[in-house]
Amino acid sequence: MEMAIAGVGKWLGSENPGTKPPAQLLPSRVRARVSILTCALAEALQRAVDFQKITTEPSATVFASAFGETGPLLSLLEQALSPEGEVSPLMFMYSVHNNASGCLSIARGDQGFTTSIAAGEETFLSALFECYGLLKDGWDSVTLILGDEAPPHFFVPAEQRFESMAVALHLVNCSPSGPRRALPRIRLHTRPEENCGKVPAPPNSLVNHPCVSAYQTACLLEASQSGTLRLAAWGPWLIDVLPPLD
Amino acid sequence: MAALLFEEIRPQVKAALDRWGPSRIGVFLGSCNAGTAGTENALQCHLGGKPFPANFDFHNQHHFYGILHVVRSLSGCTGPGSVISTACSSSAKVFATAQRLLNANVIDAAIVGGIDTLCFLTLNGFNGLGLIAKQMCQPFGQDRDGLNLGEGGALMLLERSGEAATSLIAVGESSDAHHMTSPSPGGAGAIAAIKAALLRANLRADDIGFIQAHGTSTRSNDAAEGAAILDVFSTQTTVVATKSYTGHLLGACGGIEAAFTSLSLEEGWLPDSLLKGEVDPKAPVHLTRHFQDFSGTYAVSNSFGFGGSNISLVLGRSK
Repeated sequence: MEMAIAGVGKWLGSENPGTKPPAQLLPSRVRARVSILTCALAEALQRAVDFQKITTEPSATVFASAFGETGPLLSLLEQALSPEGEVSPLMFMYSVHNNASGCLSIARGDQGFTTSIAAGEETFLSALFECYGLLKDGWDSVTLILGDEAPPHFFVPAEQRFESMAVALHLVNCSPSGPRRALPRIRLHTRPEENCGKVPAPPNSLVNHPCVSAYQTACLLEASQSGTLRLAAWGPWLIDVLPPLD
Repeated sequence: MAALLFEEIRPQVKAALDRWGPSRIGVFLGSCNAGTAGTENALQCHLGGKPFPANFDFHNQHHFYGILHVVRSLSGCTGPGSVISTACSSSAKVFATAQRLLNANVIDAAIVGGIDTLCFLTLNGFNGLGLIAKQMCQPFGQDRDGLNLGEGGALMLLERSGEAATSLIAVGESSDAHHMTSPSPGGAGAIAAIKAALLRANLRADDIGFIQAHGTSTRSNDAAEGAAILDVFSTQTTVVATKSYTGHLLGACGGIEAAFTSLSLEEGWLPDSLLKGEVDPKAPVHLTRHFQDFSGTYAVSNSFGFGGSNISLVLGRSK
């Protein structure tokens, strides 16, 4: 299973400590209401758009997050568990897992395909399968936007904490001819003997992040390097980041 | 709940494992809330000055992966897996994911469906939006006043080929790009999903024997879905709404309604939609008002969710 990468963007929480990233794709009134995660996903998408080297047809969009809207959800739960038990309708609206998907489709006027994946440690792997299925189904390109925000420290023991992070990949079908020959590629497989290079370790702040392999993949692509990564703690799946055919 | 549901399809999954092998069978599930109730319990302890429950683990309980882990562990299926969370369309979207991976020859079979459980957040959140009915919900009824929340789920087995009585023919998906909680005016997003499904199925509207409606029983959702149904189909196309039996299962409703649709096609009957009063004259769909026989070949099952996520499935009797 091979796909070419037309654009890549990534964002780390330490770039904007304690604040939301700029997320220019979101209207300012929406940006003010939504979570760090939704802003981070919008920011990574903007960076992938800025990076993009080729023109594509309208894209399907796959959102992915292991935990989803953790911050708004926990705030809402506190409201729900209070003696009054009333929760803010506005905050409830923005707490669903597919909040970013909804907000960005509205902001971009995108009435095409979108989905939202929530598969724990397998989130990146599941999202790549979804992207591959969409490309084989006839889409010219698929945008994968993936990330998780840091859960509150009181909820997670120190050895499980991680930094907020988001990644966007703009995927297209590989082509043996034309401008797509000049794009780097990723390949999913289960053959460890085909390891195509070691990958630098992720920052310590991301070691426990459920989607750390997505961040490492983005780093390799941005640096035009090759390498093989295990996609999830579960299962045999590996991802090769490969150079362009040309 | 995942374990309970899996027991109902264990014999069929065993046969599929023998036929295709474990690595060629995927597991694709939909859910809105997944582990939220566990997180609520833990947070309640924390707010009360107590330690978290001994078995609470944010990484393993809060997120959506638990149901996938349970079904995969019980089934022995080791192919690709995923949990989709697109609000109330979640467990219909998994049919589309599985069909694409079947067509791409990544898998030969898939366990699909959805599971959702009740929690304080959902109850209070829908109550805050003013969407909870004071009585049993009345999809498409003139006097409908909101939805009833439920909990439950459904699992089904899709195979590339086999002896199943019904088939997934095609799916159509769209986004409203309109509002997080309100459907697009006139049901434009729903119309786009239904038309896309019919186009991909290579069927005309009058080939469809009945429509399993999303039918939440809220004023705006039923008005938009009713407008969409009447735009695409005739006023005489039969519509079934089953949330009066199950309540709104949120992330699991698409799965259980696909199962109801499949059963109706297989067994040749349609349920009463349990409407007590009159159908809303502003969305006058031809709703089933009693148990009735059915002899058609194809049906459409609709699911629409927060964030403007729309999907229609076309199912048919196997030839």
